[in-house]
Amino acid sequence: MQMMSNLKQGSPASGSWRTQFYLSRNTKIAIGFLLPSIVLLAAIILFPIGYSLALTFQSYSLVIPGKTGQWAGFENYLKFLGDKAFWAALGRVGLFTLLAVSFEVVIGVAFAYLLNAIRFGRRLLTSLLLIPTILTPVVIGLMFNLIFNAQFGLFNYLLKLAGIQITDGILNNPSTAFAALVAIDVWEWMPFIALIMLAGMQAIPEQPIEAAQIDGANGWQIFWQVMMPMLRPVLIVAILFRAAEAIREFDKVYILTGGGPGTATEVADLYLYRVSFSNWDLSYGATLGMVMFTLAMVVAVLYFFITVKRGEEQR
Amino acid sequence: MKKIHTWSKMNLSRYTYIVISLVLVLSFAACTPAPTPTAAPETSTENEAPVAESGWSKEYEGTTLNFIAEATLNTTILKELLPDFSEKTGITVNVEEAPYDSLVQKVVLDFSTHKGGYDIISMPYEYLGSFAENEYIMPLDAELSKDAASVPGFDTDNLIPGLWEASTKWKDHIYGMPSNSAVMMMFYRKDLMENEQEKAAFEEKYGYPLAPATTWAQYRDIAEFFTRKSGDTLAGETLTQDFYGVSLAGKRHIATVLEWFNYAWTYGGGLFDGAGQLQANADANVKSLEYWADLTAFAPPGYTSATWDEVTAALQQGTAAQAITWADTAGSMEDPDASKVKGNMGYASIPTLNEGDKKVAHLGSWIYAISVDTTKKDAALLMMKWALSEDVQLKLSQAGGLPATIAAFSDPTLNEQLPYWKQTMVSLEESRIRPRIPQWGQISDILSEQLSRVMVKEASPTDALNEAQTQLQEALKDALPVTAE
Amino acid sequence: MIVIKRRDVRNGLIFSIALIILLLMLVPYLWLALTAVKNRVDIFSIPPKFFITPSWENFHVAFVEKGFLQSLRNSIIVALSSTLITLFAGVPAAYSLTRFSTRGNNLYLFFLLAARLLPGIVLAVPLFILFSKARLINNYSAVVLSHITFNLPFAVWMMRSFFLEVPIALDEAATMDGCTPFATFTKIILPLVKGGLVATGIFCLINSWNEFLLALILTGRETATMPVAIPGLMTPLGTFWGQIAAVGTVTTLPVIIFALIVQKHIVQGMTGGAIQGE
Repeated sequence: MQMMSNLKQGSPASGSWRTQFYLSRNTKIAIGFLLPSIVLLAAIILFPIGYSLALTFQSYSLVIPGKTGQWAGFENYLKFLGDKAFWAALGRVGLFTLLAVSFEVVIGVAFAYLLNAIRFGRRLLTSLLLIPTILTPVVIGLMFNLIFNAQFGLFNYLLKLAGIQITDGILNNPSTAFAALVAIDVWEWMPFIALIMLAGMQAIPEQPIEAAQIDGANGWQIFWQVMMPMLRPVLIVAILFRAAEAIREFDKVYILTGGGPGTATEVADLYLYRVSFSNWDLSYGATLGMVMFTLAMVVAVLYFFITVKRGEEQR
Repeated sequence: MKKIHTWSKMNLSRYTYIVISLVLVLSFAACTPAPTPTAAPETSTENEAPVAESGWSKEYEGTTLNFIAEATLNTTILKELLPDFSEKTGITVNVEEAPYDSLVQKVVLDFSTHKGGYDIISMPYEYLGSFAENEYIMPLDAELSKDAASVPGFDTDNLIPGLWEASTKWKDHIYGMPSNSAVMMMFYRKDLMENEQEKAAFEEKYGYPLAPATTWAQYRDIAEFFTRKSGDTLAGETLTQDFYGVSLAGKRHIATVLEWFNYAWTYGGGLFDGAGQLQANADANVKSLEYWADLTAFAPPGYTSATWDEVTAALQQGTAAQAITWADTAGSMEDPDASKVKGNMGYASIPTLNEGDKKVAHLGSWIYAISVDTTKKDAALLMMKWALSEDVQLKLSQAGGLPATIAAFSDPTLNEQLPYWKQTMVSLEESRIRPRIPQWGQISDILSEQLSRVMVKEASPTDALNEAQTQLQEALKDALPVTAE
Repeated sequence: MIVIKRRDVRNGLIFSIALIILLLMLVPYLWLALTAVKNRVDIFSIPPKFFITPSWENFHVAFVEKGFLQSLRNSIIVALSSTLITLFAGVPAAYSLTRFSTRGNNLYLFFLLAARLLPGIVLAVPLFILFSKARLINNYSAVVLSHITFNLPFAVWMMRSFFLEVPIALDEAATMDGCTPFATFTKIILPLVKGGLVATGIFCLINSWNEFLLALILTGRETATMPVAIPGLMTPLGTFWGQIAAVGTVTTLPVIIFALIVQKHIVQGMTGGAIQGE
């Protein structure tokens, strides 16, 4: 395992000063290689985002007549500041992210530890482990809809066998629906953390662990005092990735609950979707989009500084 | 090239059309309802269709129409009848069925991007204001006038006038024709109400005889009375599952909003006051919502994710005694394949607050409209008229759908066969429309959120409606006061 | 004489525990697959049925009668096109970022990272308007381009991690032998990262295949991909669970197979090359 973050050639295989020399003189060639991707991304990311930014100062609706891009000043932003439903949705997705990622980390690390202790047959286990993570999210949503169905779902049946009687479907009650959403996310993404941490654990050299064993440290101490410090950078990267994914949760909620019951599972992206593609208030949708954009940028900056800067320090 | 040319020409003529209609509206602004303008610039008289012996034109033979409608029994039946239309005219119709919200989304997407994916649509009338003013759908005054070319069995005089006016007329223009006559009414279990044992027990408990509710207080009592646990006795039989007094829609969904309007209106409330100002948190509205929230005690679990579909299912399965729901689901109550309560269902007007109050029923009709982007307007018109021709309307009714013509409702055979027939016509006469302003989408979104918060007990009726008032005030600030509902 | 080492017993024990946990975790998915081959009555039966005679009716109805073959075709077209364009533009960029130092390298890498972390909904609104204006909604190109917005940044970061493993000495040697930079890239270096290229391509395919939101907004009846088409089986007239399960299984099986092919790179793939596994 290796953090592939060093910006310049840092791998031992590369030459030293010669490399620097080779690297520095070919800006023109570099542009040739980079150009297709730059042009493409400028057209499909930069331009749309710029367009979206311009849209936030207009009023643009597909159903309300007379709103076809008129100048609206900061109206959309003022609306956003006073939009309690959006703040609530943002808070909800924050809580969702916090809960889901925490459980994923705890269970994922524990599972990785378990797998790390195995000498043979690990390949089969990791093959099974990766399945939840790569399944199509929409299918995951539908799958759990089937499982949680109040009338004929497997889940209610199993609860009944266990002696727990519930009259209602899990997804019909605000608190259990939210809990179910978190649980499904943990089911889907715990393996992600586990696989990453397993890779991390395997890269830990034997010597420090053996040394600690000789010193009489128990397994718990070795895990916390020897392994964890070495795993921390990997874990941080994994958490940031998960957090960035979780705050844009959409597919599963859309399919499972549509944000309900009431507003129990209405996460930020679902709210944005409703504003934009169900109320067709596209300018306001773009404004809220800018808010989400800013949040994503914060995560990106954190990520960049943590991984890239660390990579440079380590050199 | 040609296509682009005609398109821009059409735009231009639409522009002139708006100018003319604006002048008309302004000049009649002071008078009472302006007469339907007879001289619209876009007449189709140039197309004198060669009429075959049958009275049906084959001029558009080979044309394919794309049509979208709500996934309901009505549409299913229409789909089965369409081969008759194809045979008569040589026009093929692709029918796409979608649930309410997804239909609206698909249509807006198609219209706003001028994709021309749909030639003719069946749309809920509350989007009329929006679609008309955005010029997504064509005004059809001339095409639907008396002098326009017609088809056998079609006569505009035969359309239920209130329904037609209410659902297809926006600011003095007609934009289509009613595609069904959905209206809300009270469904109740006739067999239970007539059971001697239950009658006696009810009278003993409540001090008045058991009968279909005419007031909300009675409706509540009946709901409470019939809510039974599995193992209890109902009408002499031991229940194998729980039974509930009412079924209602409590999901965060348009169904919930539409059902609530019945309570609000009968309580004397409504979204706008006489002057067109917003009054979402008016006392009557709060009271009606409190009443409705109390009813949930007698509703099947899962009402927080129920729409009209779950209400229909609960009634069909015989697990609920009463509901305020849509007349267009009555057909499926009487369908022996899908329903366990065939013949046991009674239909009545929606209860009122006090005995003798004016009856109100929520109108929910859908309308046929034609996309401005279509190149097959005349074929689409033909289909519209075919769908409303007497023969089709009768067949539609027989199969359990809801027609839009007087003749179908006064048909003696149908009146005899269908237990809900008479009541549907009565409810249509009592019907009231929801706001059709372009902001409807937002109104519905805000109300469905706030009402569902009450249903899941996240907020009190007062708090929820206060919040709705604030949000609606913001959403409607450019539209108030609302004069054209 | 057979000696069972204590260590092997322990290994077997942990292996069994982990296997049981994993199999339990996969019950929902197995249940979906089982539902796919159930008939209508068995799906709704209480208590649930675990042993049934498989029926292929759900597959037949969904794919033959309800046109899901078209959606499958759409998914394949969209995933393949977006992946090919992505690799065409992304691989040279990744190579350049590991070989040539320009002032903008850092900035570009940051931009790519930000693009990767960008929520789809942020791009959904402007892309929807722009593609509508260009009349490209319900055209493959709209959804293909939209999928490149996340696949290209991913592919550059991922390929970059593979190129970093190739010693620069090779480039230098090739250059001295008179290779042009382009020839060095295509003839010398690219063959060395073939495995990485395949892995990156497969991850791009999976990303595009699984994507829902952008496809939902940018496709129409004729171009809907599988994730967009499946929820159409939940209708007001009833939810066709059997068909949903059948289509869901068909949607996910290729993903599982492809993921197992590139299992070696899965950690690298999931973190976009930020962490390298095994």
